[in-house]
Amino acid sequence: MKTSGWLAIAAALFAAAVAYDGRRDLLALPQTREWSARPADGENGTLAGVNLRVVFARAAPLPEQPDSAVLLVRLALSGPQAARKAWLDCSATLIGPDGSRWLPVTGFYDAGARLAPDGQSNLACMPMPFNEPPEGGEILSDQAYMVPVSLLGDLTLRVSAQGTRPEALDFALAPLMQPGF
Amino acid sequence: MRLLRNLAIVLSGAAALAGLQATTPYFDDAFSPFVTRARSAELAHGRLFDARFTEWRLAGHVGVTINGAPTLRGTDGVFLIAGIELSDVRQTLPISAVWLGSSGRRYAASARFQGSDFALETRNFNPHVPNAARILFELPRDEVVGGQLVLAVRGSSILDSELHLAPPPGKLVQQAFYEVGG
Repeated sequence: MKTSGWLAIAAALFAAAVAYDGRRDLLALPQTREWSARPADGENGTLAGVNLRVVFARAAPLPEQPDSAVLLVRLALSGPQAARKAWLDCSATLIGPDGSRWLPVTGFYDAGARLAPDGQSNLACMPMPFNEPPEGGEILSDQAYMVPVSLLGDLTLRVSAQGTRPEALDFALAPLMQPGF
Repeated sequence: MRLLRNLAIVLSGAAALAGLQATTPYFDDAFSPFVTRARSAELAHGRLFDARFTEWRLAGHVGVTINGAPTLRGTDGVFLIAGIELSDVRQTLPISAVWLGSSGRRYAASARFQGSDFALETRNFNPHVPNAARILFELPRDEVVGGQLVLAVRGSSILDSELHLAPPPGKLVQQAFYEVGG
């Protein structure tokens, strides 16, 4: 056999060894990426048998940084428990027009009290909380973000979970502006 | 003659293998972060954020509000207050800061200021919003001059950026007491 043939066999064996050794990481990769995001139908969407609803999105500028705002997004999640099990590691990320990503921040503990119409705060997105409502009820979650005021009208909320990725749902947000945080 | 030639081949192979074994890099070396160095006042570019080292000063005591209570902290060494400015932040990030002293030792940001503006542990940096911060280190005095500020995304920095920032130009201000916001 020619040298090039041996080299080709060696390259193929090397690629096979890499694929075999990294098979678990390769199979797990789609669970960490949102490659297949599709737009939701307005404020409602369904993904992997679970219904999602954006209850509200409200923002208020920060007194010490008027160009920045706290944006509070409340999500409602409902569906059979078997489907909700796939929603572990629920992720709710804001995507900007240039691809920038905002993750929920933990510093604004009183965002719900200040911005929510009912003055209540909820935990971050989770599919099976300890105070789970009866079957068919909605599980509410609050996410607070720190975003620039100038981009408030151009943000997309991308929601996914471990059992849905690489599929995700995109919600176009139109936050209601409050006078001050 | 043939025996000698075969022996030489085996010995040279064994020597090559021993050389490979002796020079095998440790995990931390093989997967170390990609270091980007910036000279004084220069902007350093990382994978997820850019950063500039904007000011530095020394203080013997620091007055700070911790969890709402005015608090005074002293040290047998010296407090280094480092000002940074992040830009082009691509996603919400927690940042870790280390002072690389003149001896090569690495000093983590002081944990004696948790609950204050200095605490990086509870701080996130976000895209397109002002991202200035002050970091406080507690150091031996001789580790300050000749040192560098090292910034990275908090958590694992395996094969990620690590920014090494030289101190800003100008004289290093030294004061007995520094008050946050003062």
